Amino acid sequence: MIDFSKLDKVIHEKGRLSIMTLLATRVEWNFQDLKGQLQMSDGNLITHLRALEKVGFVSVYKEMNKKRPQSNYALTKPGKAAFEDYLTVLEQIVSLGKND
Amino acid sequence: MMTDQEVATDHLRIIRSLMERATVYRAISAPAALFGGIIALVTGVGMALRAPGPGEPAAGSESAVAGANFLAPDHLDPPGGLEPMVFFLVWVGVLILVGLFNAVLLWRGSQARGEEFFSSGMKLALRATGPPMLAGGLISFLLLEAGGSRASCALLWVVFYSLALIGARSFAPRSMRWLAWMFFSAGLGLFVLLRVFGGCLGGKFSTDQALAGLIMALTFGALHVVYALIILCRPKGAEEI
Repeated sequence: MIDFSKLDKVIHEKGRLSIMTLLATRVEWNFQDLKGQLQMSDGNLITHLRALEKVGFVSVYKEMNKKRPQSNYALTKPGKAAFEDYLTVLEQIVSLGKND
Repeated sequence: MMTDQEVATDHLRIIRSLMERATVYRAISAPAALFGGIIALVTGVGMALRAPGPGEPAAGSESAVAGANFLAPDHLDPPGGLEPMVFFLVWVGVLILVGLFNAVLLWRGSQARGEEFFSSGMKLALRATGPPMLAGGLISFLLLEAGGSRASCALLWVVFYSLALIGARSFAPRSMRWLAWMFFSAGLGLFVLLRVFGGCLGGKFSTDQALAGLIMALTFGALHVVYALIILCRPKGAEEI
């Protein structure tokens, strides 16, 4: 039986899912690298990042890089757990479809 | 309207493709490999051809032929060849030249993608390749300074370079992983082959300088050229993982 409540509504949106996926691949990503990989506008990306930060899935810290402020993003522990749960539910849905 | 299964499949596809793209970083661009390979080929072959022919064994030396025991520090090339430290500096110069060329190409690539030059991928690559490269440089310098052979120095470079590439294998594209294992096999294989069959080498190519030049040309030269051609000849737009 699939627990659809585990299909996190915050992650279940392509933009935020893409961000969570990239953050899961490395310890941290800076804003420019994320933007380059996802081909999103600054406004779109920042909106998604704030939404993920608000629910505690993403942490941010700022540092100075060549005298310019740079924001670095990372998955938090709850964020990692939520992403793994989300993946598990997705896999269950797909395998259920194959068994039908 | 998409079914749950279709949405789940679509999302899993997005996750897979992003993860593959994000975890692949090509630290050596194809043009830089071609440029470096050609320079190494020319320099290595040039060193080998300009090496003085084998002479009489030096006093107290078992053999003047490097191949006979290329690891032993007691063999001496006849006069007229490159001093060991000059040999070292020539190849450090080649490394710096090719490294700068590669850096310029990587910088241009990062600008085109709208990324920073010191991206997360670049930092990962530097962390993985830095220690083996530094260790190889230092150990080979100390080896030459202590009177070691140039051929064994060249083979140390091959092995340490392969270890640097192997260190980056978890996020390197397939062709770079292939390059890493080719260098690793060539380095260790040549060490053993030359130790066992080195005495069979004849003529000019039996001297230390010629042997070292030949090793550099065959490995850093030929392998990089093959690597570059593999990447340049693949269909345009084909993403490599």
